[in-house]
Amino acid sequence: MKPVRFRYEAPHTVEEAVDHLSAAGIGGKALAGGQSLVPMMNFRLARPSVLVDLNGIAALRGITVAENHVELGALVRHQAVADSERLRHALPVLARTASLIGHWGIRTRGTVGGSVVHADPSAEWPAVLAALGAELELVGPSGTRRVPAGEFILGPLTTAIETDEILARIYIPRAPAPLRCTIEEMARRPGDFALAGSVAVHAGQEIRWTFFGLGGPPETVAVAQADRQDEAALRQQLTERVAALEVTGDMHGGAEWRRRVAVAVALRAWRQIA
Amino acid sequence: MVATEERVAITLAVNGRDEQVSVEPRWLLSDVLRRECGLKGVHVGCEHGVCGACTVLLDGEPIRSCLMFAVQAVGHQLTTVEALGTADHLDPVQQAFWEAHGLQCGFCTPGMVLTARALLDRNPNPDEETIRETLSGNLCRCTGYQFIVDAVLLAAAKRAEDAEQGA
Ligand SMILES: Cc1cc2nc3c(=O)[nH]c(=O)nc-3n(C[C@H](O)[C@H](O)[C@H](O)COP(=O)(O)OP(=O)(O)OC[C@H]3O[C@@H](n4cnc5c(N)ncnc54)[C@H](O)[C@@H]3O)c2cc1C
Ligand code: FES
Ligand code: FES
Repeated sequence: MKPVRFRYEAPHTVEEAVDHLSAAGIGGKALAGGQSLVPMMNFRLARPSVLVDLNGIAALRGITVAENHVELGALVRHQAVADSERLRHALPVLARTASLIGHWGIRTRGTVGGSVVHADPSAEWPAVLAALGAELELVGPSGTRRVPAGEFILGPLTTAIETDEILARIYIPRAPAPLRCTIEEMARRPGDFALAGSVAVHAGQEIRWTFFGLGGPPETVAVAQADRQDEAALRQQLTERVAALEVTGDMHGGAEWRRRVAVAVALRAWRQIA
Repeated sequence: MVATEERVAITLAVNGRDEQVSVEPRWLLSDVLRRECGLKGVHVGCEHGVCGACTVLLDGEPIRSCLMFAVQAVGHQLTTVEALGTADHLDPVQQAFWEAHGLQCGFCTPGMVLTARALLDRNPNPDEETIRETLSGNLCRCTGYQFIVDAVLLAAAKRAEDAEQGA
């Protein structure tokens, strides 16, 4: 099928984009990489009356590696993250995350910001950004606010963003020492959405796992580091923690099976950073 | 809000030529390349980004032309399979697909060939695993993929040979 008719706006500044979205009200939609929105428009699951194309806004681009943080413009493409030498040194988990997303021809267009705002429960970026304690900078008609990534996702395809707000930049804190952190997932084929995935962060006294692909927003569990030599005990602990999470089954597998996969990928991640 | 039916006049840089077209903003790049520019090598399979048949190169990188509006492509260089070779002078990638039996019905072939070409332009000597990962976004219902992988390996060898002879 084909999209319904819409008015197309291609602003050059964030302020203009916000003005267009405010004026359009409920019918307005921002367009970033189009890798989630355009399929929905092609099938008429999304029928915006005004489409505000963000791709011409220079202020939404750019990767900055500073001493204490990494800053990504919302429009940074997945492939640019995967290819960035600077990011590979600063925070290698970002490149690994990007390379898990879809396929080359998806990653060349799809953006980090679009993935977070789309908030697919199986998407990698919301979980990784929550696990790393990232902050999202939102710009709206009344100014700029920052929201922790872990509080931004409210549910499947639902976030704290207002219809007239733009996600402008993403700030990811960076420890002075290299962070022991990785992401693992299980998908039916490489590039498919994850059936279950986990981001593991070695956080000093404890290890934290942020799970995605279980049906809801990313959820984090922590286990004290003292247990880490004993994999059987850890598996038991993780199984108990994952049992308490809300998990939805679908045509690819039931909730119980997904919980087992979640524990398996969590352990796989842990073996790399323990 | 009444959505507009108005057309906009745009210029697309396709295969080294400037194409003036008049489009509705909602028209997909894939449809405009096929209907307005007559480039029927752009195949349309799924229209939701899954099959890769509609792959074209945007500034040298593969993209899904079914997930982009034609109005967004202004100012970018587009390449479709029509630019690669002619029936008499096939691109080394096309020649290799022929010789290695990398196609049967041919529906996936333009997307496969363009993705392979973009890969070899970045990485002239990819290993089999890299080729498989790179082509994972292009579905083929006929060949079982092995001959396509063989074709890309053969194309890499041919291009190396051509480069040596040219040098
Ligand atoms: C075949 C296929 C496989 C895929 N596999 C994966 C996968 O494995 N993992 C994964 O995570 N994703 C996957 N994706 C989705 C892909 O990552 C998308 O890039 C991403 O979900 C959306 O980003 P986008 O830039 O394309 O956003 P768009 O599609 O342009 O927009 C998505 C939504 O976000 C809003 N939006 C976008 N940017 C902003 C902004 N800056 N401010 C405010 N609102 C904004 C839009 O209005 C829209 O509602 C896949 C897609 C396809 C087609
Ligand atoms: S038609 Fe574009 S990906 Fe299938
Ligand atoms: S040759 Fe028929 S789909 Fe690939």
